[in-house]
Amino acid sequence: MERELIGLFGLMVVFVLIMLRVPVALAMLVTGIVGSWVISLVSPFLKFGPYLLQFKSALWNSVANYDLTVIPLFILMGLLASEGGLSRDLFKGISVLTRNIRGGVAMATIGACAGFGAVSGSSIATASTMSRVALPEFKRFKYDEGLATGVLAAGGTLGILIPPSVALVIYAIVVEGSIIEMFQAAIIPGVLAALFFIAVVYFRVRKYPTLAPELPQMDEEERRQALWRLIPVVSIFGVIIIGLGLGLFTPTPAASVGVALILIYGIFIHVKSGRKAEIGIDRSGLKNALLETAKTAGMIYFILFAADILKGFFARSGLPMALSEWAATSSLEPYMILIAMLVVLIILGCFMESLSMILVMVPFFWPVLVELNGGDYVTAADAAFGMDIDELKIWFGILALIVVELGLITPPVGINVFVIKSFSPETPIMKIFKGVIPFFTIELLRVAIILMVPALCLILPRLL
Amino acid sequence: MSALKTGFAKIIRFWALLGGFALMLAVLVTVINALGFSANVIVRNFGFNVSGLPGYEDMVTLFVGFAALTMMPFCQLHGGHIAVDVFIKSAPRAIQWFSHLFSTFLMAGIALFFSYMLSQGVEEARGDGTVTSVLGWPVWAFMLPGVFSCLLWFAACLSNLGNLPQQAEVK
Repeated sequence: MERELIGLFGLMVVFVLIMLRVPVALAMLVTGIVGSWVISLVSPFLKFGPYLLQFKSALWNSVANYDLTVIPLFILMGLLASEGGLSRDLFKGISVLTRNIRGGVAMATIGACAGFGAVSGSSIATASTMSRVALPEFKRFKYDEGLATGVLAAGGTLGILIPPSVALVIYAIVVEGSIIEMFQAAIIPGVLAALFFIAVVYFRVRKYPTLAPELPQMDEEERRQALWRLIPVVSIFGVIIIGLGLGLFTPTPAASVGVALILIYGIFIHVKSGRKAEIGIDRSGLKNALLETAKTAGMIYFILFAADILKGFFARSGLPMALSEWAATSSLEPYMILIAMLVVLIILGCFMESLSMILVMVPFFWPVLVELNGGDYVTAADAAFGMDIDELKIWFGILALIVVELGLITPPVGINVFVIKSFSPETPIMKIFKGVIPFFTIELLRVAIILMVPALCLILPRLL
Repeated sequence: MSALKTGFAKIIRFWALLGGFALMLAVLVTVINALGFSANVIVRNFGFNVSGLPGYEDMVTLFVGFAALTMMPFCQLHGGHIAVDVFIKSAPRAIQWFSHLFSTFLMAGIALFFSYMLSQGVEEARGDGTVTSVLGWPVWAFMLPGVFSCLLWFAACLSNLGNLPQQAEVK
């Protein structure tokens, strides 16, 4: 019991350090190392000396891992798409298609967020890129500030779920699941989210028409050009998404092909424009994308390494095992525990960043769920959730990521809201949070639907 | 002092770009490999055979492993690590400074520790003759720049000592 208490204390220390503004990865790493030392004091068979020796190769082994090579490549792909103006072309192209619908710019923003989220794989990147592109349009057409910023904050969250997403890759690695199956499973819930968001805009604008004024007719030449520029963007994004969805590519080749296609297209349109700095990808654009990739990928690699060290400490403390044993012997209803876990993730999401939450909490929740379901080798017929362990991985992963993404738009942290605020400093933060509420509510409905109908996540991995 | 900081910033930026170059190399070999496989799907109908790039997974793993470590100092220098600023931002300035210095010294210590342990790891991999599984490339040669990366990471921590996180330069 002593070791388990140390593990529990360690978990509290991680949260305290995080609240003291210690970088999340550092908090995890230091707790992992110091915690392992403390455990070695109470359990002499878990010696600290041999434990320390693992650091000779642990950092290298953590970064030189083929499964993780996809992470910097997806990040680079998203940044190049942004540098190359693909996000702008996507938004303008969809805007043309939704021009005649009231609230069309907001709907186009959601569509573009979904499309760009697919290649960027990051919610924050999606929110910031689309803010840059869509906010001037919202202002030009005198859209309500609350609606505009709410759409951008909520639309940005689509990036975490629509494949290929870095968060899906990391979740799959944490639970030792299939990245491709996670991508396939996320397609329907991701599309559902985009459709629900569009429905929210449609009904809000119908009820309060002043939120989104009617738009003037578009010049035919401008319309033709916007549609023309949409073709390559849709083709590139389509190759990546369909290739991954159908299992034609594994994630690393898909990301590499995406990087190559976007780079070639970006250079092509830059040269075609007569080397204008703001069109396509020039040398400085490529440099910017590489440096931003360094910043983001460096952060993700370090946090993944730290999570691994923390996970090692928790394993030495025996805490996850004790929790799963407790779950197996308790008479609590499995669905109630699952819902409690999701509520914990939503609450934590108000304070913590999504990636950290996946890495800190999923290693605790996952063994408990496995035990509740009936163990590692249970068949779907005998399982508490009516599915085997592989399907449970997928279903829980999608649910967890949806509630984690809710944290991005929940006060007081709500990172996406602050990203939008930085692009629209004159909009009061409370107005953005108010604008987000309808989307937050519809997200809760989506969680309930996926809880009740797991087939929405499981059907594509079964079929493809 | 300022010239030293600027010098370090330049080296760290160059080092990160070198990592970016390695990442582009990984893209190149992966695309060549994918093209090889795609071509094979077509030409095998005519009795021909085109192979992928042998050992491409080895190359990608090593290139990206090298790139990942070159990115750490740049990430540190530009405040890339996620931190949750809910309570400290409204705390008295002295507490903000304490939190910042505590984190930065801790991170600097960790970076130094990694550079020492990784240098031991390089020695070990070299002594053991550890090579990649398909290409047989020596792993230590790709680990070695990681030691330099960790030292730069340490330097990046020290460069940030004088700036509270919200004042840190973000380019």
